[in-house]
Amino acid sequence: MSKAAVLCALVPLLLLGLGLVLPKAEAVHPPFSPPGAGLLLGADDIGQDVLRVLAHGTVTTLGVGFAAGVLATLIGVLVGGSAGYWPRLEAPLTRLTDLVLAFPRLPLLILLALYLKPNPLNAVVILALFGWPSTARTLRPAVAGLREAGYAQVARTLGASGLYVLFRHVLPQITPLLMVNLLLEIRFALVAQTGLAFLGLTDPSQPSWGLMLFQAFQQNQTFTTSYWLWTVLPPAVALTLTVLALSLPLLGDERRLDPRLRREP
Amino acid sequence: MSLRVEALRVAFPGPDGWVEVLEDFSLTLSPGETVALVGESGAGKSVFIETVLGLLPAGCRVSGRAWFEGQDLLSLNPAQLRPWLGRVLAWVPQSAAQALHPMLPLGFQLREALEARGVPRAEARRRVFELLEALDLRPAERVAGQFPHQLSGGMRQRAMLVAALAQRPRVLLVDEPTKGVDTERKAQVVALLRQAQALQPELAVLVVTHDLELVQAIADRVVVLYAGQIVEASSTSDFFQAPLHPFAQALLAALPQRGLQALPWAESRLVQGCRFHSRCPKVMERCRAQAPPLISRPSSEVRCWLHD
Repeated sequence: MSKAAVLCALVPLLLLGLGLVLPKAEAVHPPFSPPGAGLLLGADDIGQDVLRVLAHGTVTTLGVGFAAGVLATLIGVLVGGSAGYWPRLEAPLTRLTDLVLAFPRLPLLILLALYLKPNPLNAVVILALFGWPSTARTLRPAVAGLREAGYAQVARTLGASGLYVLFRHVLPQITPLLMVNLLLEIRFALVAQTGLAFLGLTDPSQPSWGLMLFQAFQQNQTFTTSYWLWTVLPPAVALTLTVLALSLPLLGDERRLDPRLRREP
Repeated sequence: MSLRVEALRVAFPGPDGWVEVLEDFSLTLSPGETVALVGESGAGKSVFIETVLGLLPAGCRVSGRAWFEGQDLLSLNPAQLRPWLGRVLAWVPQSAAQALHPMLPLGFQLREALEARGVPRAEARRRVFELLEALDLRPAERVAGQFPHQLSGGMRQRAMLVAALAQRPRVLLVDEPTKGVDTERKAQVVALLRQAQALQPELAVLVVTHDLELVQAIADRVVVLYAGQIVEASSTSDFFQAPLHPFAQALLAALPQRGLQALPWAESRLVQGCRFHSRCPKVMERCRAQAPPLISRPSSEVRCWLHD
């Protein structure tokens, strides 16, 4: 399971590396040229090397996705941890979490993306603001359970404050849960970011997988000729492999940890 | 300099109104003294410790005072109580296995409270290592680098004592140190508590237990709790030679070397009369009607009409 994840991760990582070293794509090739020698993935409608666009798009997509995922996890840890640790905060913070969770995410994302400047920083913030509730929801009961653990009680009777116990004793104990949530948050942010770009709601000068798909879908001949093979397929495959790379370890963990899924030896 | 608890009452909310868990509980712990608090399960022994440490769940009703150096600890809110915890009152919890964080090395955990309170790392290290050596956790350097699961049960228990003693507290509250500990290990526990006082002669120790062997080995005074009330308080020698209260007598009669006479079970929270009367072998008419007060005797106190 994890070997497969590493294999899947190779493709986006390779693209990321390329994106960091290759110069920006320029419109120097004949438009719509099919893949061939010197142009591995052909050229798009304005004559840019698709491989370069894809590589630079990887930098944006992964950057925004990871940043938003990390930020969402942080917010989720703060909200969920506080709600689990301090009984007085539990009700208000749980209601807040439910409230954000109850919003229809995509329409609201679209609305915000329309009104805010379409730069990567705004994208990170918006995606994080919608991603955190799931982490908060999983963390709250885990923290609440450990709040009464023997070592937490002892720490308090030795004079530790609540914040100290929460951050030094309780949260380290649920690191595995945090890691899982981090992967889930990154996955959500990646897919959501691609979705926004696919709808044409991001900065058109900032290449990303979603934007590539959006631009490919704008062309009339994309699906009537073989043009889709080198403009739609590469970003789609890259996204699929990235999501797989993020999901397979979780699946493997679940198989290992859930006795109901464990195969008989 | 002693901990003086006066007229402590603790009640928990129950389905039919308040349940009095501790009633009219008064106790003085002087420096250097070891007091044993004994009684059946549910008598309120641990509740006393939890009350003093502020560990009671929200929604309990607490009244009374717990004086230490002119300060009533029960009147403090959790943030105000925090400076007293660890430095003045230290707790050795029942289960050492659960009291240590499973993912942190022992030395770090033991130093943690000191460092968090501004003791420089080198000084904290020195103090912890001294205690580890003193409590026979040797070599301290190696033990400090180990994780709780690498230590034996007895080592963990000693580590908890190090954690409690590292801040040089004045009062040590020890909860059931011999629960689930076999006879051979009991001697270790006894030695441990003696060592604690040898290291800090001014330390007052309160041991909550229902293990009378342990009481006999370490306590200077015995306080017997029955259904939330103190029924007898006397010196250890008086208690073992001539217990006054019928419950105390029954406790001693239940010791293996005295014939293992079990006390019949009965509803203990009787509303009328003496709380013990339905189980008391010496019950009188008066016991059913009237609750006895704590009666002072020359060297002890007892709550029984027999000694009126």
